Amino acid sequence: MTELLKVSNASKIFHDGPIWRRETTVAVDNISFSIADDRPTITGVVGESGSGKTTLALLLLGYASPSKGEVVYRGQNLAAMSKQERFEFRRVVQPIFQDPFAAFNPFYRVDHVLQIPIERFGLASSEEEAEQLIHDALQLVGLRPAETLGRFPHQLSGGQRQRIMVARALLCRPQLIIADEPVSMVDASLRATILASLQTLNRDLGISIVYITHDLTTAHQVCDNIIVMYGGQVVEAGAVGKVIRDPHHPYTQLLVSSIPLMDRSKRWENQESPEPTEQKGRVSVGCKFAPRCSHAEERCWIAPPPLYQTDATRAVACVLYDDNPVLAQHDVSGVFR
Amino acid sequence: MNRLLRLLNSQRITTNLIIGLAILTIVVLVSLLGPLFVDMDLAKVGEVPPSKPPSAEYLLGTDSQGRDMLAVLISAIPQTLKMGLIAGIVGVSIGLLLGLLSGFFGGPLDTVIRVFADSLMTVPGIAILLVIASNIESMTVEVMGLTVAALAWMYPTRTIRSQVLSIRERPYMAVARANGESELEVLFREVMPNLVPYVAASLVASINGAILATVGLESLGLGAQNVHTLGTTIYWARRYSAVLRGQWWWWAPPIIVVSLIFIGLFLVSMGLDRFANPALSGQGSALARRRKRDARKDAALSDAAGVTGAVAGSQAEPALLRVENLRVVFETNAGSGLAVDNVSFTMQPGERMGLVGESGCGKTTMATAIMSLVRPPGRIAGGRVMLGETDLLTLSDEKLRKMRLKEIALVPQAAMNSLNPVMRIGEQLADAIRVHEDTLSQKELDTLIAESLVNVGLLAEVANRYPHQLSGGMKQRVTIAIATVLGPQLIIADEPTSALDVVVQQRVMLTLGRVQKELGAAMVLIGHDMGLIAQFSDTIGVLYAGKMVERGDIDTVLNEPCHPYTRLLIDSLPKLESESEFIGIPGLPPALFNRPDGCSFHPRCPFAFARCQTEIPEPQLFRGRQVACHLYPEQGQLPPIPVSSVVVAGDGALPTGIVEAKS
Amino acid sequence: MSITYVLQRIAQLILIVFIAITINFILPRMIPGDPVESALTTKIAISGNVSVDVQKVAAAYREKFGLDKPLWQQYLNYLNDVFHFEFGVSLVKFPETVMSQIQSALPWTIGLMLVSTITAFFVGSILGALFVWPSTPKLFHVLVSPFMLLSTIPFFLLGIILLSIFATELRIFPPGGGFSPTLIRGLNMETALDILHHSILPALSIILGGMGAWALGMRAMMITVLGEDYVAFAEAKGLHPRRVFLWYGMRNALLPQVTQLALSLGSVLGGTVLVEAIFSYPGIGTLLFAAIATKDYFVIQGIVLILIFALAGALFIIDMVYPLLDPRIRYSS
Repeated sequence: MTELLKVSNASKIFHDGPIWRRETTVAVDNISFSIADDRPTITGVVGESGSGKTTLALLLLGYASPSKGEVVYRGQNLAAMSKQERFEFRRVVQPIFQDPFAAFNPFYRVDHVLQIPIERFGLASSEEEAEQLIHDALQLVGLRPAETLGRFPHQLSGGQRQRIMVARALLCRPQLIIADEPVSMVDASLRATILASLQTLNRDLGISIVYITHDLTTAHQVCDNIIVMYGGQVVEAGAVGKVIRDPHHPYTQLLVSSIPLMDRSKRWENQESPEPTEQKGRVSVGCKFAPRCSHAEERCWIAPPPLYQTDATRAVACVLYDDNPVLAQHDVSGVFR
Repeated sequence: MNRLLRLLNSQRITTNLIIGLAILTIVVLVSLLGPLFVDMDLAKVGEVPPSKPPSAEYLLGTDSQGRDMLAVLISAIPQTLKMGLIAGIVGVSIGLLLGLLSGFFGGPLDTVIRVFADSLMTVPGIAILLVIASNIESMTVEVMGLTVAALAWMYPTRTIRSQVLSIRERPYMAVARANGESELEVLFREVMPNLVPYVAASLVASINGAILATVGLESLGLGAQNVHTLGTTIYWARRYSAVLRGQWWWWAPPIIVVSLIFIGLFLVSMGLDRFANPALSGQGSALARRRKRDARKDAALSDAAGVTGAVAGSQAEPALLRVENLRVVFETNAGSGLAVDNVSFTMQPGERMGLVGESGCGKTTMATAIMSLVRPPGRIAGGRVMLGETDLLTLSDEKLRKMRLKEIALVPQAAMNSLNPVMRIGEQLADAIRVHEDTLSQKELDTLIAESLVNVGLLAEVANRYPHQLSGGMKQRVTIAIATVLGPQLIIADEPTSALDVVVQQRVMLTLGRVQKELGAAMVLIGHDMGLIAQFSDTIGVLYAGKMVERGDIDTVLNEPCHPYTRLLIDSLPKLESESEFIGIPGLPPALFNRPDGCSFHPRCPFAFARCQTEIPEPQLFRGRQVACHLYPEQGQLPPIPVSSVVVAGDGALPTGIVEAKS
Repeated sequence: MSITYVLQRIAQLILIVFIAITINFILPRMIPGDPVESALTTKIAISGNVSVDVQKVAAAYREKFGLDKPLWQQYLNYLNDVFHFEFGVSLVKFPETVMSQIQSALPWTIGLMLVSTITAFFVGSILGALFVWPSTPKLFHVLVSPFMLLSTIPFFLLGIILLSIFATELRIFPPGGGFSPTLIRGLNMETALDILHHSILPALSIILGGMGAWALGMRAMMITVLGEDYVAFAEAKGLHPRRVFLWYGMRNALLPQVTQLALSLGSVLGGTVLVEAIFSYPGIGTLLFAAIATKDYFVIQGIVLILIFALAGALFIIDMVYPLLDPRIRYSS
């Protein structure tokens, strides 16, 4: 199986503060997975704020380089690419960002963001062809070119702006789109349309998607496979239906049980607990969830548990499942279907 | 060209800008056209009788050397302006270059430039300028200009640099790179255009500062030799005791012209400020508040017109809150519209009502209206808000104030910004308590504060902290503590957890729910997360385009929604229970100022028919809830949504069979 | 307020002062012409003693003042002197030291600038807030335009205008100086009043000239701050409008105003210097002008240095005071 993008034992460490009082944050801690080149997939990365999912997006897009490990595109290490190869990579792996307003340069009309890639990547040989490409892309995401082109960003709604961003991404003929919280700043009823268009890109145009979010419900609906992150570490991964409907890792269980369901027959249990006010006590150098975990053992604090493969399409990084075989090469794509 | 016309038509060009530019233009024109009308030879010494006050022949009199003052003035203006322009343009050019390099590329280059600029700024430029000016034998206007630029480049550098830094973080930079732009292209195409207003403002400020500094020095004798500038003219006037001899025509005109130049520059810079920051629209607050008071009185008088049978049956029940035909209008230059359009509902004591709708539906406006906190450009235009026997909208400011927090409390959205950043948490609780209960001793106050914090799951010592030392969840708990400390009858929670992570959200909502139940208070929970509303509420109200389209018991409405919008909204939300296709609602919610006639939802409704386009549906009691839809009571229930009219995943084509939404 | 913060600021202060001292050393030495000779020539011309060999006397002077040594050695000597606050001797008013001249002039300048600037800052800020206060009588708003106008006119021009109106025409105030030449000064009320009488016009120039800018700045800040969420929440708590305005509004708007004060100190100082010169007020300004006119080399250098120290010191103090006002800096993690 050839790999489009492969992350191998990648970590990203940030240093903050003056020299005599350096603070170290491990934003991403030893992650390995890959996106296949031969079939289009939608992979979800789920976590709350501070989980490292946004930093992971930066690594995948090549905007930041890993402190340890590597990110490899079609066999080539991103850090070792030539300018030409870099340019190709930029076209093939496209982003969609969270904020539909800030993603536009307020000085230009929205056409700017659609015309530039055609120019720079040489996607059309004439102006008519370019116009046709733009019209097709807009229609694919459910927008009417006549109502959208020629406008300034502040004249359109958040949902429309985000759809233009999706159109922009697909215009570049990418193989992979990294979507970082694409619908969290969009109205509820418009989210469906945008997510639907992402699914269209995947099924009809064969584009793979990495869908980064904190919203488990949409992840469940959109993705094939999912990675759950906490404190920079992968805690659970596998087929999305399995992980969300039957979570194994204590954190995933907590996360799933916190989702407010519309089904009133499944009420929230009374899990009210006070807010932790101080980071008193131990800092875990092992599993980052240990301070909050009711099953935590001494060894959890000392070293991060490896990913245990509990079946063909699931892996859990928790000592509770240590009677299972360790996942080969720590690579969660091994449990992707 | 189009851009220019748009600019002229928009509100951003203010009178200030125009007047400022006009003044400067006049000054420049006087100096350019002056020589056509005045004999400039008269500016030379000894040509005319000396020390004569203004007369018909010599409009501005003459100085003691025998020069025509008008001619002198006309020749002096361009010299001063030239110096200002040189200093300004050179200074800003340096500033632009260094600011861009520093801000865009960062790293050691940035550190060096920044430290150098900061150090130079501490050196009082005027002193250095004094020293230089006093020691250059043949000072010219050009040299003066350049020297000032050399001493003032730090200020534009600072401004440009901080702008570039903030632009650098914007996502559109990353989008530009993803579009294949090179770093240089990003710099010129994306960053530079957004710098234009700041460069313009810096230029005006630099010219202003340059003329300020040089006129000052010149008027004290350190200026260019043998050249008439506005400053040197003032110097000669003082030197020859014109001030003490009352020869005002000598020293006053240059001062007036200099002041005019400064005033012109100042107005232009204020105008440019408005360009960049349209929020500074002046005295809106004072006048608007007065209008709001008047509006409330109007509302009290005119409510009789709006009452319909929609609230039938409500008089009998001992309701806690009764909102009747509430209308809130927003009036701006772009148009006016009803953010809250004839909304009526009642609430019982202890009831939890969920208020759900998308952005722009008016839910937050309604919350502020109930508390009479509507801010301009919004204004309450009619209706009643009955808390018990009192209509809140007719209360005086003083009575309203007393009622807030004690009877109705607000838990605001995004507590990040709702707490005063420079005040301790305890103080923010204390001043709220003290306003309503001034008989407590200090000890009792402290105990009450500690208890209320513990009650919402925080440690009592949080009272000594400042907001920036707390996490998001903790801040939200603080606002819950403030809202509930005096035991209000009604709590309005405006999207209290939408900024929080899902795990924290659950915990905070459970705390809020417990505290509310303990107090026996009623709660309005506003939100867009149907799941959250479903978990928490007893009853629900669905808002669309300012109207309450459905209202009733939560199970009744959720299990069998009657209004098409409610149905479509529920269907569009992803569910964990099933892996269904994505179903969206076609079209967009209508803009505030451009609502459709008849039922606001009809352009997007799969069941719309002729009557919907002309007649506004009134709320009616149907199958145990209030619903505003023309389908009822003829229809027994909502028909199945026709497949063709729904946007299904994968179908990029626009839906057919639906009345086109008016844009 | 962490140790890091304080250390950083102290390091900055030292660096700035050092750079400033170096610039101050280099500048006068770039001026063409020899100060010693020209000063001597002036003196000789005045005394009329033509037969003196200027060159020989000049050489003696240069040796005395160390001006004949190589540049780097002069620099080191200079640094040494500066740290001992030895600024040398006045070439013109020999043998009076530069330091003594500065010492007699400095209190006048500090007094004038401190009182005027603080008055302008507070009066201006309060007026600016009043422009935004809803209960301000409508008549008050008429003042906005005149204020704008006043704020654009530089201090020294205001000084000239005030001088001509009140001193020349109306003769209410004296036309200059710090005190009546005929008064025998002592520590009494008469002296105090006399000084006050002479200080009013210079102070007024600075106050009127600066007040407008502070007022407009405060007004803009207040408008921004009153639109913040925490003000809305304060109103929702039912707090008295005055409390909201003062403690949630003004208190927060003052912070950026103080920052602005720090940034503008340089120009305020410059303006004060010019005003002093206009009124012949016996402060640093007048001293500087006199020194420039007579090319009193060391005095000029000494004054510029003092100005630099004063400014850097004032900024340092503001940097230390600011955390007391803003807890976000005092308690940063």
